[in-house]
Amino acid sequence: MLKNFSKLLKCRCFQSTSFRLQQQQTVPEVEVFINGRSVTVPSYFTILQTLRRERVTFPSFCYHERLSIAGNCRMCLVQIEGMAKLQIACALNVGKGMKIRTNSEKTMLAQESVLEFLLINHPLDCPICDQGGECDLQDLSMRFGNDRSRFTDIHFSGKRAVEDKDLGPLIRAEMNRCIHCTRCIRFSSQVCGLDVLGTAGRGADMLVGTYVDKMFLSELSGNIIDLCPVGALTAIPYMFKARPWEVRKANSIDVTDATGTNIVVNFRFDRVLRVLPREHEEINQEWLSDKGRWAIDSLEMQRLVTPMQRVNTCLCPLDWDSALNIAAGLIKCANPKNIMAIAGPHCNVETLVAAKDFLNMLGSEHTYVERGMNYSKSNTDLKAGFSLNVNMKDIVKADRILLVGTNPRFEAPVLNAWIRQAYRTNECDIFVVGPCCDYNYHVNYLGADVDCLSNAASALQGAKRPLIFVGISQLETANGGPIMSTLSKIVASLKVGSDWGVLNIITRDASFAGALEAGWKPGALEAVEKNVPSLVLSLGADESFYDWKPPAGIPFIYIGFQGDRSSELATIVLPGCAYTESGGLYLNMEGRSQYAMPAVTPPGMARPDWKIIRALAEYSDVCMPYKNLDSLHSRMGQISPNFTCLGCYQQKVFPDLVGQLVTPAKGTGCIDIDMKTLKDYYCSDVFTYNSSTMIKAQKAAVELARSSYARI
Amino acid sequence: MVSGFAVTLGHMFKEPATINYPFEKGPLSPRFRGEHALRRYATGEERCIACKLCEAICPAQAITIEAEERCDGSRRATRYDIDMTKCIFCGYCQEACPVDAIVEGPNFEYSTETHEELLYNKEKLLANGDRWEPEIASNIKDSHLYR
Amino acid sequence: MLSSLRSGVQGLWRVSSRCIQTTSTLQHDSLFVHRDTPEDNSSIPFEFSEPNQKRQAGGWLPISAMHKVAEILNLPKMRVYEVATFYTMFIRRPIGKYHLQVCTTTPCWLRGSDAVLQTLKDATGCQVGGNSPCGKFTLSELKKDEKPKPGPRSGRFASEPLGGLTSLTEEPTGPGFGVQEAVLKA
Repeated sequence: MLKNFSKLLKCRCFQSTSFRLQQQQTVPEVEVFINGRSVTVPSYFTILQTLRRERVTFPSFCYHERLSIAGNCRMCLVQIEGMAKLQIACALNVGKGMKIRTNSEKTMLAQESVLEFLLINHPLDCPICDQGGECDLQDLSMRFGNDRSRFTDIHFSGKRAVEDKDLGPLIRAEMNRCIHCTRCIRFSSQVCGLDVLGTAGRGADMLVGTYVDKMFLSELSGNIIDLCPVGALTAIPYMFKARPWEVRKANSIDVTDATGTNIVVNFRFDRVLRVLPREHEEINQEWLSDKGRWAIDSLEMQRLVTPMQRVNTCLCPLDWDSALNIAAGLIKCANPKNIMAIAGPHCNVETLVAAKDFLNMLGSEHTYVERGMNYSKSNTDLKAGFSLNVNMKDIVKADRILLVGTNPRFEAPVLNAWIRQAYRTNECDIFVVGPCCDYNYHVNYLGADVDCLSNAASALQGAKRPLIFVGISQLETANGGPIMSTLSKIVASLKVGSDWGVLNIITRDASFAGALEAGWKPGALEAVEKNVPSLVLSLGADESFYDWKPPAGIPFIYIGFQGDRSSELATIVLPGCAYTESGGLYLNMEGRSQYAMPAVTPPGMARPDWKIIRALAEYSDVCMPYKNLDSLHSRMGQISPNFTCLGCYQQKVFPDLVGQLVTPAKGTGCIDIDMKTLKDYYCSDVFTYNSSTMIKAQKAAVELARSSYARI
Repeated sequence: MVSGFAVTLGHMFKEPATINYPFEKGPLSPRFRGEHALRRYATGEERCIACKLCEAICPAQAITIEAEERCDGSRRATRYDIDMTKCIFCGYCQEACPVDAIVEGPNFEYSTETHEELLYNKEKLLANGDRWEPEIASNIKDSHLYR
Repeated sequence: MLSSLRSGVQGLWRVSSRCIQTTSTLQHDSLFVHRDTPEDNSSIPFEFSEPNQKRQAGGWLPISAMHKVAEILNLPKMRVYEVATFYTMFIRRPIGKYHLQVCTTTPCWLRGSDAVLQTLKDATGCQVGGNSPCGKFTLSELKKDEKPKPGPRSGRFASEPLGGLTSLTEEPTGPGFGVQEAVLKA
């Protein structure tokens, strides 16, 4: 089955590359020569892009595809025939018939000399440097540098030594190692939208830093660690933990938000050590939110490692067999029509499908996700009503954006990077209906009231590619109906192509889209209040149980990996797996299905959630039609082809119907957002509250907000 | 036959080729690769900085290291294990070490009765280093020309 | 015998080669990071007033002035810090009313700049790069040479031709010369 998945993925990749090639046909092309070999490239290419495309090994430090060109490291000096001096390949456009010599003596001498100059001031502390083994300076020195040193200057003037910066509890800055490539400065100003980092001084005394005593905190701050070509910026939570050659890697999907960010889980000895982003041109480019990167220490906190049973006020551990027996006994005794399952934010589709099948076979239809959504009569039938209706990479083409009750900067940082890119490169105007928040672009506030939405119509009028983003939390409230009906009217009045989905919902939970696709219903809290369940099965759902406590006498089975509110109340606790342990299928807010590979084995007696449900079914004398992952995946394919068609963006059908089916209701007025500033971002759910790194970051954000240099 | 007896007689007056082992020992090269030891600086500070190069180069994968930040901010090994039963005494670890911390000392008499005793941890290795430091230091000094 | 001699010699060499690395000296007497002091911190208000414009805030640039500039120009503060630290004539610490700068480059040193510097130090009580106890004087070293006398120029100003200009001799035309009328109107 997995093989099939990867085949499908590959197939998809070929499609996209051929599509890209077709697109490029229209651009004028020029012929250049790389070491005598003729190559045809688009005329807008730089020499470095040409060399990279032709897979010529060529060194550079400051150049990065997703940032502006700085041209200050001089590592990519290259000889061009006919030009008297060497040119920097990253900043020189290709010309017709240009003869590029990458292996000439002049080029190689220049590369060697630049490395020699860099190493004059770079400390030789590779053995204690965290970047050792994945350091660009190490690699390029091996490939392009000299194996001798002429550096005998230590008795005269010595190496440059500067003081270290305090950039916060996440990023360690060892500024002696800095080679002034300015990648971090460009990233913070262009992608994060925070002009916090810069250069102070000049010449040999130049410092990269903040000049004033100030931390660098952003929802995407961790990416400057990946960008840093040397060990100047390293991760504090990963400090000294492992070397890149000893970690093992598993391709996975981030579940701390609903963007479906592609990640690589690095682990060793069955411990997840760090998470790095994986490139995906259509979702996360190569960025990863700080929560996805550093909330992983929560995987070792409050873990449930053994089945437990409630005895009076405490939970007592017991073995799987008796735990399942007791649980099955509870299920058998309960009225099967009123058994209810509530899914948490991190469930994979396998679990959701298995749990729904199990409940359906018992005779119950009560499967709910925690988040409510009752603005529409269509409920969950129309995918366009609860997901992003535009491919995430197309956001950059937008020319006007309206944000309604959402701050994508904290709700979906990776999506916000696309919005910011549209703002920077496409002169996109951004309007907000909602309270004042920290946005990292200039926004025009239209008011915080539902009535203010009428102003939005004029703001979006005349736009060629407008986009409207609505926060999912607005649709839970009574405001959902009025918001969606007004917005649908606005969308209907706009003149845009039929393939351009204007109205988009920003969801927050990784399991949300998958659960609704599998047939789960939104609004667990409403459901339990309407109809008292005979048994509650919680699949990692915790938030709801802060507001609602199952009445005494109703058995409560908890399947999940982290002990919190739910497990406190549970009659039986069955320890499940986190996303790094079980892997599984996740649908992001676009409805794109992606498969996360399992990395480590679950701790203690914990088991994959779907297997627990399968075993529970067997103990309850229910025969489920699958017994392994392959047959479960075929069952998922039966439910929705989207579960087996991996990696591709799904075009939503009937987006116009969403507006017509809105339940008419009166809004209460004020629109509120729960994540307004950076300090609200770090700890937003049970998983992140349990992460000590996130707590530290939150404290630092509070401290930064108090500092007199907080304003940029 | 006479010449044969002459050889025998000759050998009777020569020094014997065998040595009385536990009481006498044969000569050892300064580059002899015996039991491992972790050295310290003269100040008493341990040399090892947990760079993990020895772990990476070990062809028998006998070394396991875990590192952490010590309270003074320096990088130190919290765990440094050598499985002496896996070790093939190739000496790559001491060649890889940038700070001369892990060395193979001159000691070859460390046989044990159980397997477990040969799974050395950091304390054992540091104790070895403390015990053999004079010999190890003089050996390193002697062989430094070739390093 | 020989080997021990060799190792002894090598040992000596090793001692000298294994010295602790030294650090390069800064080329400027000012820091490139900001430290809050009672005289210079962001909570001191700054306005562009009459005396401020005459002589920039007592001859130096406080951090609150940088913040004011950033506010007026609508720039991120970091971009203003970058400019202020780049140019060496922005002095970012309080200095005395009289700023004494002594050139100590080789030619001046040969002509006795050390004595001048020492005299100034004694007279004002300043250290190089610091203020005098009374706060009136600031002493700093300058790494600038006097402009050297140029060689024979045969009456020329720079490298222009000896016999006068051979091209560009006519009066320069003003802007808009040779442009189509339609374009000019637009």
